[in-house]
Amino acid sequence: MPFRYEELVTPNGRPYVRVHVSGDISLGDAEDYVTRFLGQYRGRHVLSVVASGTEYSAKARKHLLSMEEAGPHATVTSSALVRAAINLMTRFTDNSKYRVFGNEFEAMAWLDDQEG
Amino acid sequence: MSVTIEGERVDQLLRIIVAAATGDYELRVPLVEEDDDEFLEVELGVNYLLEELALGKAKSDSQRQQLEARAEELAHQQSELVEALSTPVIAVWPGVLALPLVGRVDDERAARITAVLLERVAAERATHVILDLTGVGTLAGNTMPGLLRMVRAIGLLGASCLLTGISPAVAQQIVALGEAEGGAPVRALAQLSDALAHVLAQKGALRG
Repeated sequence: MPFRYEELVTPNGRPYVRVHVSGDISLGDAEDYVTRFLGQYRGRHVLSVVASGTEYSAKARKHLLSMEEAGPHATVTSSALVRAAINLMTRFTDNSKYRVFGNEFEAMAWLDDQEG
Repeated sequence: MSVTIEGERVDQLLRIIVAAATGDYELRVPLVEEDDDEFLEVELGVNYLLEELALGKAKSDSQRQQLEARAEELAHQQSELVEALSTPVIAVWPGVLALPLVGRVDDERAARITAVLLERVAAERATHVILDLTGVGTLAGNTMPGLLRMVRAIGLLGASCLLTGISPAVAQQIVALGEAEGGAPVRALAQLSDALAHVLAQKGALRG
């Protein structure tokens, strides 16, 4: 599974969902992701750690754009390609809710600082 | 924002854009993790665009193939329908066939009518055939001889052929051709009902 979900709590005690992302993301994977974050995890803060080499299919990319109702997303990746992909996907969305970071510490600090 | 880009990357991107402009959406910009700059986003964006174009083209090709198959199916159905309607042979009485012709009759249609009609005459042991020309607008140049040959062929099968609904122009054609073709005898009546009454009288089927 390209997405693996964990329900955790930030150092400041805020619940968030940590998502481990890797491999090839299909439309089905994207649908499952969106369903979770518009359903059971609606409004929840998200920390997604995306591995190098992760690829999003064209249909998955389009489907992920329907996440406007979701909570703040901090993405951590060391891959320039993944960062470019996420920047492209979020370019026309509400940028204040999406941020890409090079390390998890900064990501967590930003996420903890976001309004609930 | 100022970014310094290697000429090779720009050339590669331009080559792929030019290929896409000629309808080739299969090429992709080679992406390298080490090229960690703003231009990487442009290169990736072009690849995404090419993927969309390739998907759109595949969808369009598939729809075109479906439309072509449907058009072919409709053409076949239409052809079958036209063929059925162009030779509506009706058994109006035991041993009596009627063929009301409508529309333009060209050589091809005349040949098809002849084949179908002769087959029905033989199969049903018909004694009479009424060929109603009321609805025939035009007879193509070589068609009347074909129809007259059909009348003779029906005669050879032992049946009589009656023509009805002949227009003045067609009447003149028959007279002219009758002389040229050696005077094929044609029995004609004004209307289909007249012909049917005539045939039934011959068969002794009418009472009173």
